[in-house]
Amino acid sequence: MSGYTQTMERLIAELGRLPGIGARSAERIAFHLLKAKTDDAMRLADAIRDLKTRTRHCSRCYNLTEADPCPICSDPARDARTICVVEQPKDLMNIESTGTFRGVYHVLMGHLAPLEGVEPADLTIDPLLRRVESEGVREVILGTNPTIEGDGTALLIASLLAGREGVQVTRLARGLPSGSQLEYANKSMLADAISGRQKMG
Amino acid sequence: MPISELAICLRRSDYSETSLVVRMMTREHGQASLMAKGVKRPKSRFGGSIDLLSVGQAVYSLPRENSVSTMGLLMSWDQTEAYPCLRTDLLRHAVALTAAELLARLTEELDPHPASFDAMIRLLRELQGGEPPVRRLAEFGRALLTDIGLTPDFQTCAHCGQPTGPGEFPAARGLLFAGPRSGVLCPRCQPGPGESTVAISRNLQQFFIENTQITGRLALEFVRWLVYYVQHQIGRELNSAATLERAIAAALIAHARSAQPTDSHDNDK
Ligand SMILES: [Zn+2]
Ligand SMILES: [Zn+2]
Repeated sequence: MSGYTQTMERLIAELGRLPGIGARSAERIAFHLLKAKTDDAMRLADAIRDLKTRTRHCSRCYNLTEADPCPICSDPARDARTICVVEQPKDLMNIESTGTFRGVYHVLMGHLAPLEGVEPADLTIDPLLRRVESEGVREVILGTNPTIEGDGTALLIASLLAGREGVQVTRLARGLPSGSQLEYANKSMLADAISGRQKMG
Repeated sequence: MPISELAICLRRSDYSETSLVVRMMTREHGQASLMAKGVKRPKSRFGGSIDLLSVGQAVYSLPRENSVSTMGLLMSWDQTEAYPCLRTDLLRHAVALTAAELLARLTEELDPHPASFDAMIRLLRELQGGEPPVRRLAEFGRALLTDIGLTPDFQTCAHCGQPTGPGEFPAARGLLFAGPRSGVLCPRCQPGPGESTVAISRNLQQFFIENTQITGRLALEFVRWLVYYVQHQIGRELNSAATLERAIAAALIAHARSAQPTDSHDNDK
């Protein structure tokens, strides 16, 4: 053992479990906190405690929120009949930051990964279907990642929504990133761009 | 010495913010776990990322023989083919995933199977070419079992040793296939108490014995048998099996929805 006190050992071990933090960094942060003013260190502790006690998933869209339903779901100015389906809250924030989408969201809490054993029941697909049924939804925009697994998730949801009258299912456009150059695009991007080409004029 | 060869990505898992660990099936060296450093950076030399089921030229090195690490290093990746149909068609998607899982589970680390590798590439190309997915999966499955040496004996009863080939019994009578014995039972023999079996048709038997072309209906029977058989062989469930069944069901529903009442009913999916 390293000779640290038990409390110190415990903190280092906990910090070391965080993503991107190795044993060295964990040690450095622990020493930093030890030297820091009590108030400063406690603010960090409080922030972590509040995160875990006050933040939860919106009961409608599964976004992270402190109020339930979340501010987006309870905003009357938003079009509740257009749902954009994303894999995780981070994706929602990204789309939200563009300021171009005025509908509401649905967070799946992941994507299907059949080879890893992640099945539809592990995601919030059933609640999504219930929302589409009960909230008069007109359009479901599938905004899962353009990976094989994200696409598979979108395909399954599309197949579950197929045949529902008055519900349009769309997929986020894909292909070449704006501002990029053809010569640097890889084969998948080009294939996507060709098959998703749009009419001009 | 770095190796350069064609490979297909069977699995990818996040290693860090920017790196992935990929499980590649390479043509000449079989499966290899490779670290792809920095692959998730937008301007990485891997051209964006490496997706599941993508096919390309991999330049990699394997861990040294006496090394503790079991992971090699992927130095570059040049995707050579794209199969957009796997992203737009649920059944094709599920078929490709099932094939990838079969390949991953029936071959081992650094256990080369060029014929199976080629069969996988052929399958992906056929799917992209618009050919019937379940039939092509059945043909892939047959090629894989043949290459790996796992084709069961369909011509001898696994219990009494009597011949069970076509012509031995009335053709209308199917046979029972016993997963735990990896073989068929003749109509005179009964499965043991609680022993797992599935019924197979004579056509399925013939498909193996005579290496015949497969039809739509038989393909579905074959694929279900294949999943059953492989699960017994590897002693666990195939993760992709449920996805495949869901996709088949969705395809049949879509087919029924689009079919005219007067249409023929060959479920050729
Ligand atoms: Zn909400
Ligand atoms: Zn027998």
